[in-house]
Amino acid sequence: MTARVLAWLYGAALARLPAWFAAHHAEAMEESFTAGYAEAVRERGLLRAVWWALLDTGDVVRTARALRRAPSSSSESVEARGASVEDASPDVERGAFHIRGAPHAGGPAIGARSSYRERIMNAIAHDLRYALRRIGRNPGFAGLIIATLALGIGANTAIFSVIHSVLLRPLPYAEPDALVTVNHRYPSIDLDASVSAGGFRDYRDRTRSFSHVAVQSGWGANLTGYGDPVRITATRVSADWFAALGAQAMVGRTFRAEEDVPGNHHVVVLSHGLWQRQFGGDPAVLGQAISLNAEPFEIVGIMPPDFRGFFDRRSELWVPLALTETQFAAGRTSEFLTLTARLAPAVTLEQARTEMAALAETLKQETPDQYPSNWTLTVTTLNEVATGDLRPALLILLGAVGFVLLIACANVANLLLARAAGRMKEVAVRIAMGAKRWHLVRQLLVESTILSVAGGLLGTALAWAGVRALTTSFDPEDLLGRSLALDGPVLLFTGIVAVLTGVAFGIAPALQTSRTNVRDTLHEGGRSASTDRSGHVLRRAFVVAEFGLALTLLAGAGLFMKSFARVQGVDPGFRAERLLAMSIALPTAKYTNDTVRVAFFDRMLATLADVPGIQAVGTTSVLPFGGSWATGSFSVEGYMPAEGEPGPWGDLRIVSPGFAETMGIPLLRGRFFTEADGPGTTPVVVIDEVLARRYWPDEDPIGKRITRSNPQSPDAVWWEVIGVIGHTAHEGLDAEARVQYYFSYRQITLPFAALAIRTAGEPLGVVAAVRSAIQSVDPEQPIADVATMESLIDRSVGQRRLAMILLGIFAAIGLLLAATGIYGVMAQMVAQRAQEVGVRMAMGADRGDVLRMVMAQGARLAGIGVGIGVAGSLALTRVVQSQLFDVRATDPVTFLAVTAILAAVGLLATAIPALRATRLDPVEALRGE
Amino acid sequence: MPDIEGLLPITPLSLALLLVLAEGEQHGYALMKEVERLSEGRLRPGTGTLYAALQRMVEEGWVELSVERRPEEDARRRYYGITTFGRSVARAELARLGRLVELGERRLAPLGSRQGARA
Repeated sequence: MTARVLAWLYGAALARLPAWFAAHHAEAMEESFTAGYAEAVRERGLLRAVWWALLDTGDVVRTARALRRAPSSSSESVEARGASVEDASPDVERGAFHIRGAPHAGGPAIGARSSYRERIMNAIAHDLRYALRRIGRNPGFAGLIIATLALGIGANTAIFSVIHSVLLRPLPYAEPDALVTVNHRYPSIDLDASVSAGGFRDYRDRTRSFSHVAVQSGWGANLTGYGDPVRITATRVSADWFAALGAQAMVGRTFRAEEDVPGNHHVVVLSHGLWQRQFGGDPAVLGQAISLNAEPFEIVGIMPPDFRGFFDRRSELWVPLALTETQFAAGRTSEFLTLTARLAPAVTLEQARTEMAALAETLKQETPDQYPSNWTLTVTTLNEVATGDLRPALLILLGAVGFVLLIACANVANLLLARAAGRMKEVAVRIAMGAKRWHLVRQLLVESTILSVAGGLLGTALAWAGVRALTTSFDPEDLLGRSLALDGPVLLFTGIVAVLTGVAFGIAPALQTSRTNVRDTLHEGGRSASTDRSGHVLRRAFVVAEFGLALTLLAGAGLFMKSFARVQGVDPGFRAERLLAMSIALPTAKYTNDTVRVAFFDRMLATLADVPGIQAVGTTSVLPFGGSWATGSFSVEGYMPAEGEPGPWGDLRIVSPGFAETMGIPLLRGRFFTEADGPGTTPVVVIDEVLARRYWPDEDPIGKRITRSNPQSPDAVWWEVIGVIGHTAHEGLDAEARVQYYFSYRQITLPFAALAIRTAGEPLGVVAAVRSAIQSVDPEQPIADVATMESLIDRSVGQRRLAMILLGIFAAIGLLLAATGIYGVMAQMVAQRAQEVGVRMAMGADRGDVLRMVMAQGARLAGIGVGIGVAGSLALTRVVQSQLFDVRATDPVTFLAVTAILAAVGLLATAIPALRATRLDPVEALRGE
Repeated sequence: MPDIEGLLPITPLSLALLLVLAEGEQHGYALMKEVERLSEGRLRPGTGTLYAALQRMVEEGWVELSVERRPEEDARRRYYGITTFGRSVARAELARLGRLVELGERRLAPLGSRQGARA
């Protein structure tokens, strides 16, 4: 591969030779080149061979140009100079040959002047060649620079590719910017709720802002008749839903308006994945009926492979929503529908917002008792919804990799400055010989750009590996089926970063070098005191900057680590170990009433209790960390919320009597449900400690009553508090705590449940036994969402962990680079001040004094940098505070710790050159000059 | 025969090539290596430089393309050999350099002997 690319390049160079010359020599040259490359690979390794091949190709290009030029009368001397002086003065480089005698037919024309463009091209080629040769002269040095830059550029590219995929890439729908969602907004409790069926009809029929308004509701379907019964994540959608997203079926069709009506709704559209997995990708399934929740549904369409719903990314089939008249009449509070709308052509988001706010006011005027006074409707673009959660974390990461890149630039600039100091004499000679300073700057910038582009290439490779690693950390559904990719825009970003980086780290050394004072430098044998000093000041400034940036990175990483530890330290309120979770849903067509549903759950729980390895089992309507939640408002007897205060509202769970014990939630007062609490007995409720404290702060809540109905109504059902249990985390360890209240599944019965199973050993070990136990009760009943509670909790902190790990990696890179930076500067300082050290030692200073002197220098640089870093980090705290849990962004412990780490690393890096200084032999040092 | 003295000095690369070829016929890449060795690494012609130099030396009549082909090798490979005239040019250049060396040694000799030479 490499050989072929190189041969191609060489061929391109050969093509530039004049035809008469090429006719004579091209083949033989090619042969020599091939032989030379092969031997170089054999004897000097691939890297040096590639280098040789590139140099040789450059030689052919130079030859071609010279052959096209008119022969000059002094060509013989030019050749002589080229061959002998070149090494002493790199500026003098001409082709080491000439053509003598009469021009050939078709050969170079006498007196032809090169065009302006040609001269520019020549200048560029010259600069490139010169830069390549200088880089090649010290491959280790170039390698260090390229590796440093690759770290910086690679980290940036990887993070930018995530940002591009998640934040910048348009959603995978037709004209995605026009897609919005509408929510019921309750400002007093800062809640954006879903919409009701009646609301959906109003927002669709009484507005002009939207071309499509559609709603959806989550669904689960037990698919039977195709192998083992399986539970499929599904969505019920209104007829216009696919059209609103701009999606079309790949095979067949989507729903018709007349199918979105109760009774006509037994049609189903399959996802491509389900079609492939369950039906073998057979197009003949179109028109066939399948059994979903024990009802027949006709397959009418199959979606394309890349289609994902926006709010239902995991859905694998869709059926019509078919809202009933009862549902339409249920009123504003029946908020169970997620709305997706498409703005009509030429309607702006602002216009839609204005219209919806006005509609909200109209609705409130029409039926004032139905709505809280400050209730309103909000319109949010799906773009905002998609990026809302991840945006701040990603922007912080982008900032962090930006810092890494800056540190890398400072480090590379330092390396180049150090070398510039060593090249003063060469530069002075060139200036003395008439080289223009601008010319020198340009050449040095070309060199730094080549280095940064090489760093960019290597960085892209690193980023590619990084993105592969990151992909596994992201839930693919979060990306709506799109993958993280290093595609065009990302590579363009990398290219721009690489070039800007090259200029950024190249400009200071280039200007520094070009300011070389010719006379002093030549006089002082290559060590000009004045320029040396200013170069050194610049290098110290870079070290200070590196330490400042590194401290900011470390502080950020430290804060995220502490925050993560705090989150992990949160007590979920139950014992998560050896707890298995799964879900089960009964088809309502088969389990038509509460009696048979309760009977199923009773038998299932009894059967499971006998399974070996199971210690306890309970059910709940929604499981903590299970990914779903149910909230509801209620009224407390004798309690009236103050004007403008939201009424009581919180998480509600419908559970089996064994739930609290299985979960290990402590009972604080009274009792939990028993088998005796049933349809015929007093309605009872169990509350959590938070609810108890909030509404009965000074009383015993046992015996108090709440209702979920209108408390004024004579038909209101009042639930008596029989027990108080501990609070449990629900959506996440770091989520805000809501009050929680529980009902027994014998008094409120749902056709679905999540199971919590406490096992004696490894939780996943009993899954097969659980499945067969449940199927011994009903052979058509599948289980779904099987997971250990520990893995569910772990997943809930996944994003925090990822951010913490990435910041930690970036901070470590920053620390490493800053350490090498200060080491380089101090080592050079020790080398340059060897004479001074020698004098001091000759004058009686002991090794301790020398050590102190050098260490003090290093400590000063590190100290200033750390000081600036602390100040800068404190200024940036606002940015990270929202991402931290239970940690102030100015946390003094974290700041002290990272300052100590950075100071220790800085001193360690200084100690090596300092110790070297103490071992200097004064006599040698003095003679060295 | 052309006036050899008028051709002098010749370039270091030309001289090196002539000296390598004086040992026997050689092909392109071998020439590159031999020139590098002969010059103690000071001359490292690339293929472009080399063939341009060979082209010129062929034109001058110092070297010639060998008619010989070696069937066991790459068909594109070309061998060059030195001509009698090439040998004369190399000899003349070496003689010139020899005189230069002699002159130089005298001039750079220790102070005492230089004075002696003047006197």
